[in-house]
Amino acid sequence: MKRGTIHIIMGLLATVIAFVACTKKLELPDIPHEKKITLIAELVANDSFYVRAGQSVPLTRNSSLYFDLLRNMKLSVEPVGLPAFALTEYAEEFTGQAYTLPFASSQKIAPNTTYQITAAHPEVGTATAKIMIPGPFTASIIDTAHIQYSSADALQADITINDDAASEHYYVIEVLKQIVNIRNYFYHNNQWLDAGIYANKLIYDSLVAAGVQVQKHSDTTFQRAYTRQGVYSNDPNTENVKDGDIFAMNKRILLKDNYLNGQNYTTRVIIRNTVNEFEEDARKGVVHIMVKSVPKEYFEFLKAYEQYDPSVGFNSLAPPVKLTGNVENGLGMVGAAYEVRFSYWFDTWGF
Amino acid sequence: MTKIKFILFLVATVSCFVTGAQNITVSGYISEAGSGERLIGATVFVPGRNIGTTTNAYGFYSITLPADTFTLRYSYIGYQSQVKQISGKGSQQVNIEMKQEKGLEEVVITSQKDAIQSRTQMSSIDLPIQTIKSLPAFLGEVDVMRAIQLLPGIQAGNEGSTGIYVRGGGPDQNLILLDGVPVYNASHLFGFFSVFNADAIRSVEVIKGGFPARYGGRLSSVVDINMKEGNKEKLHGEGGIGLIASRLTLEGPIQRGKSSFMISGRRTYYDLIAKPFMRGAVRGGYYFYDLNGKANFQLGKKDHLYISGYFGNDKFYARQSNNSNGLLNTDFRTNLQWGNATAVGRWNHEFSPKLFGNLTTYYSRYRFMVSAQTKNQLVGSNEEYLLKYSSGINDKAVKYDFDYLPGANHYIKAGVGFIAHTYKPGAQQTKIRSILANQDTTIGVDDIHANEIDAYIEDDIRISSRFKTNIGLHWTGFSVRNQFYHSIQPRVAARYLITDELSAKASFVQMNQFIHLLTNSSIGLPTDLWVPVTDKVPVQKSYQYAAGMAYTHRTGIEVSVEGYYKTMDNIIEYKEGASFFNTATNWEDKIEIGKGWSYGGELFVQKKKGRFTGLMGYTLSWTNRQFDNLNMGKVYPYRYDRRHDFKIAGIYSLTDRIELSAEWLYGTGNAITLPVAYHSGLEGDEVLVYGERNGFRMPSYHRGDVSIKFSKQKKNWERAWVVGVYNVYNRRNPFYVYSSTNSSGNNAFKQMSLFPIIPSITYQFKF
Repeated sequence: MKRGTIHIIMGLLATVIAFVACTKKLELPDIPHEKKITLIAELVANDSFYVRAGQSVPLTRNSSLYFDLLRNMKLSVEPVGLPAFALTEYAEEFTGQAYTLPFASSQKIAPNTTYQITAAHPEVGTATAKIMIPGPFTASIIDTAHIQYSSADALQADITINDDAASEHYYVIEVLKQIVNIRNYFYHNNQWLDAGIYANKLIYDSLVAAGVQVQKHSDTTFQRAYTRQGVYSNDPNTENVKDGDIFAMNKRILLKDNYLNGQNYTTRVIIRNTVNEFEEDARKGVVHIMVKSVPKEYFEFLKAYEQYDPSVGFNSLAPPVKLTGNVENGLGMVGAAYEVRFSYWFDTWGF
Repeated sequence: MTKIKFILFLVATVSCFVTGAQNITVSGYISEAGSGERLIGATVFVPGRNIGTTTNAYGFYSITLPADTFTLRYSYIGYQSQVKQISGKGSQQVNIEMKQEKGLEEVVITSQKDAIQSRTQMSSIDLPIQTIKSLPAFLGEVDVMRAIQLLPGIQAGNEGSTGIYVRGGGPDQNLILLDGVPVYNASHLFGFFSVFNADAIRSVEVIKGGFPARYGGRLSSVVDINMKEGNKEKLHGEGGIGLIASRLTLEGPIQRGKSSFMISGRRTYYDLIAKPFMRGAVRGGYYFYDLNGKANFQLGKKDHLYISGYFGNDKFYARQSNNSNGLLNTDFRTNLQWGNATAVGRWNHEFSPKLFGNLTTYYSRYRFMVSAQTKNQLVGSNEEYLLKYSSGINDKAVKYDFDYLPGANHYIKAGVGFIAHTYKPGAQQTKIRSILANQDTTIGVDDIHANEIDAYIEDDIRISSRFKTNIGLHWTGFSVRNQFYHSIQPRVAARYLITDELSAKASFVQMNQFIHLLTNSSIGLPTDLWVPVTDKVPVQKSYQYAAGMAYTHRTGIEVSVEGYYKTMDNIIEYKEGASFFNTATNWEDKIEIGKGWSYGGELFVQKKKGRFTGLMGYTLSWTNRQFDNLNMGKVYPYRYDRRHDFKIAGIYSLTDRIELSAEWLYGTGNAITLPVAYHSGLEGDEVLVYGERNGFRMPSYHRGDVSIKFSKQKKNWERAWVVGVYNVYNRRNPFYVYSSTNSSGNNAFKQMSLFPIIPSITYQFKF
């Protein structure tokens, strides 16, 4: 037999083996799970109440991954020792992922206060969550800088948390970017022309080419949408580094009180500045660095959430990450925070 | 105080038999006629007196009896028994050469004294290498570990894997010894093949419980594999050409009758086959290889030296080169490789006919490495980027073992050893050479050095003609990071001969393990990390109680029934979501510490002789785990908790030239954690709600394999064609389960299966 023929036969055999390894549909087990009320919230001290409520989708035979919005639900808040008040459901502008409905109240959330949220539905039942809002603390930021990190534009900041030795605290650092629509104008023939219009841009370019000093300005419009910025840390005292990888991008940086121990503690974070790597210059905005003190149960939930990757789905080879919330007879998490916020304009714009 | 009393009792027991009565000591070596290979575990028995002994790992035996005339019967499975008349007094050396049995006729056993019911040791199985080689083989590759998986109480884990899970234990709890040297990762190709080339192997013994005191360091099993010594009389070779690998073994005398060598190699050739088809810029491949070597030298009447080693590697590689008009050359290379290396020297010395000593010194290394390198050659400048991750472990050890046989009623083994461990829990090197940067940084946990001292003593005591016991102690001291840990582990086993064919056995052992394996997959990847105990991660400890019956029918069929209960403390699991791929932080923060327990019953039937040979094992077992921070502290079944596990294998010699073999395996499906619902997450995402940890079962596993071997004797050599079919009825066994949607858009789970029906053909030769 010619050597080439042997190669072909062996190659084909290997290919056949590789391709016949196949998948097979399994019947879903008869999993005893009923629909449950889901509550999602982060109650921030000195802010108003905003809670999202919905229902879970049991993963049973022939079920679909489709979230029916749960109507006719009643939500109320009861500050411990004070009368309860209702949260009002309202229609939402942005309903792209309307798995839950928003409920709100204009009442302010008081620090050092425990609240019980109750959600009741005539068919699904009643779920409750109790959470204490942490007390005030202070934090500061120094040495902010533009850097290149992992081949991308990034912001570096040293955050100092002034920990109170009297009680146990759990701290979270997260960063959101509020995207800004920018419109650039130049002054020509006694009027402001929009440089975003192609014909005007041609005029602008010709003026600049002719050496004319053109007066210009930019108008910014803040969107109501926030995007989460990835954060890196190489601080070995953070839970992120303890459980993960210094090279991993995090949604939140998590710090336990026992490393701060009633002192001023400084940790460095590196914030990915771009919304995503494919839109380096497309969207700019203001960066909000939020340092939060949170209750222990919410901290543990966020820690698990940090390890949870919803894009991966389920695969029996990977160890599952369980998110354990605080909603009794329901699912989800009603968290709480005392927040210190720092806002920065790192991006530059103009034309 | 209790321990001191126990030690004093042992010392008293040992000293009471050193008497000056008129005795005769017969000692010597038992070896195979024609090759001179020493036979391990051959039986020397005195008919009519219910007294006997066995050869040790070097073929040495000694038996002391009151001066008289008596008969010694030498027997070994598959070999013709021999009888010697002994008379006189003093010491006599009797070396025996045993001939292999010829012919296929059924052999009726006339004496049961060398059978399983007469041994004190329980929960132990010797697997004849010929049986292993005759069983149907996956892709034609005979595999020792796959044969071990056929035994009761031993499970295979995932489909296709050669890893073993013994009596509810983890994959790290098996002490796998090759010529007495621990092998830390005994698998190739992500566990689909083991590192043991059957052509280089002489004997395989598996112990699942009732561990003698000479073994220590792991909780769940000892797999003791010995390489061939090499034929002392003539040059001999064997080999095979298979679908994925070929192998060749040569053995022969260095000095006829006194010294010999054995060298054996195996290599896959998928990469070589694929090479001609890779003509583009991208080239890649995979291969693994093994190299076994051994030499032994008779240094006189009382001394013997053995030197052996193993070297094996797996390697995936890929390379991509681009040339842009001669201005920019880009060369990208990535490698993934892992492998073991062992080297051992053993020096036997016979101090007296009653005292045999062996000095062992060895080195064992396992390493894993993954790297990616890019080189850019620009006009006038060169750039290089390298990312490399490596981990591993290596041991350097020295130990001395004694066998002391003062009389017919005692067989004392004692020894002391020292091991210097070096753990490399993971380091990542980043290297950048360019116009803008010149960086060479290594981040990771420093090597951890640990020293281990072991000492043991055990005595196989013949209390009466029917009652025997083995009592021993194993002590381990372990020093790491300025901390010293130690433990005394008692081992007790007893056997009562109810009739000549039937015995009752019981054992109790404590085992301690000073190392852990970090693994966050269920398939046994080469990335799994070995780490030592620390002040945060305590010593693993196990207690195992076992009781059973052993019986040998006059046709040679052995039957054993055993029940066991095993506890395991301080076992580890990764925290939920924690990853191994982290070099800058301490692994101790990523794990949870908990406990486990397992209990069940095992039935084993084995027929080693005759035209038809085979084995059958059934296990009924329960295995649980409990961790404070996993599954909300509630007890959950272990991933490989397998209620029913049944295996049967048979080999039938149709004629002198045709041999048929078949095997069938059935196991309850693995326990897995399944999501039971979705809910909305903090950021509008879909969050899976999981049910109880390992609360669901994958579909059950079953598979049948068959093979047929056609042999032909040529003038000076023998050749054979082996045709086999793996998974003969094309069962789609689950490898893993994942979530998906079906064509209607409804939720569905799907299983991934790896191996459908796979035919194979292998050409074998022997000369």
